[in-house]
Amino acid sequence: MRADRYPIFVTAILALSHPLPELAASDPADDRAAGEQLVAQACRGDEGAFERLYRTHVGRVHALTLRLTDDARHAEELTQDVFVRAWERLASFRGESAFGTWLHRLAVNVVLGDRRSAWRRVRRVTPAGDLLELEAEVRSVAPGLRLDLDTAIAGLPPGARTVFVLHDIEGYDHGEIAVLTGIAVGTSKAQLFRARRLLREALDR
Amino acid sequence: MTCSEVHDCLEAYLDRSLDRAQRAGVDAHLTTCADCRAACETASWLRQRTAALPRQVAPSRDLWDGIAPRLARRQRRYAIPLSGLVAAALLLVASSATITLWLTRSSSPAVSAFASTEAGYLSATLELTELYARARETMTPETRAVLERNLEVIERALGEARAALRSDPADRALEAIVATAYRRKIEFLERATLLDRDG
Repeated sequence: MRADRYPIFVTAILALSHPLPELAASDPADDRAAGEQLVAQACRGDEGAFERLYRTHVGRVHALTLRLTDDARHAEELTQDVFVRAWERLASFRGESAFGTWLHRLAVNVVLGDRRSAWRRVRRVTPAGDLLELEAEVRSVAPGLRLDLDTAIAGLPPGARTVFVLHDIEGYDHGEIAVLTGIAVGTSKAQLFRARRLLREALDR
Repeated sequence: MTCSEVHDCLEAYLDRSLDRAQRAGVDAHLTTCADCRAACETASWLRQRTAALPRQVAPSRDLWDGIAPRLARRQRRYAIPLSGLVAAALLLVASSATITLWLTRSSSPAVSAFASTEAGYLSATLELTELYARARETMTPETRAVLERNLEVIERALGEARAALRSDPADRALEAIVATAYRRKIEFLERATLLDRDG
């Protein structure tokens, strides 16, 4: 088999995104039992049960979308998308992990998928040189102005922010982040190192 | 210990979960490497601050009002009458059997196993293509155009892979590529039929 027999389209297809593995459960057992009952009801089409699941989990999901997007309005749209997607995929939830863990993983995928789409849209209309500048941008802060941590995180470049939020706040390891984001483990480590350095500089001002 | 090794075990070092020998190795490195010492101090310093961050943040408004209508719409959109499902199932069985027969008769025994696999993929894509055609009717023109473009790329990739396999039917790697291309098409169609971006 020769490599030159495979056109670029085939190579592109092979690189397309693929379903991601579930993470280990982390929710307490009693939450899981209560959640399982609601999930079972929601799977049968009970919107009331699903609304209760939404009320239980919206704060955690929204904290994630907000920190990953740095745009309150867009984060709210994404939070809604997460729950609509969860409703669509309830049948695929097999209870191997806690519902909250499954939902959280889904939320990460929704946000990163949205970012990939946005990135592709930008690439269609933005010259490559400008893209590098976009990635390298770190929002400037007035000298002497002290930041809280969330504000400083919001000021990180997208790649560094994603890795920092997933690793240092959400507890994913570099291997999991590599799977979720499609970057190499080494890149994830480098982005984390960079994020921490930038945060230290911003917060030390 | 090298800088890279220290970075790899920094989290465990801060968690105090390293064994005594490893910990001593990190300590020794930190006394001589200012960069790693700074990285360690920063990680520790940030840990204390991230631990204090709220794990839950309430949205500024009740988002459920924007979620509930989308759930109801989806239920309506995919409500297919039982008679329609039965007809679709019969059509699929018939088409699958025809395709399998055609593929196996036109292939040598060595490749008939893959022909059977391919027939399964074809059957699945037929079913999903039908669902996609139904979902497509309710999409915005912009969404439809984007999906059509993506589907075209996938179709071209699949076509090229199948053409390559036809020229060398015994190549197992090519079979794997064709199978992967089918799976991508199936996955794409599954996702496309679940899209709900048309408001």
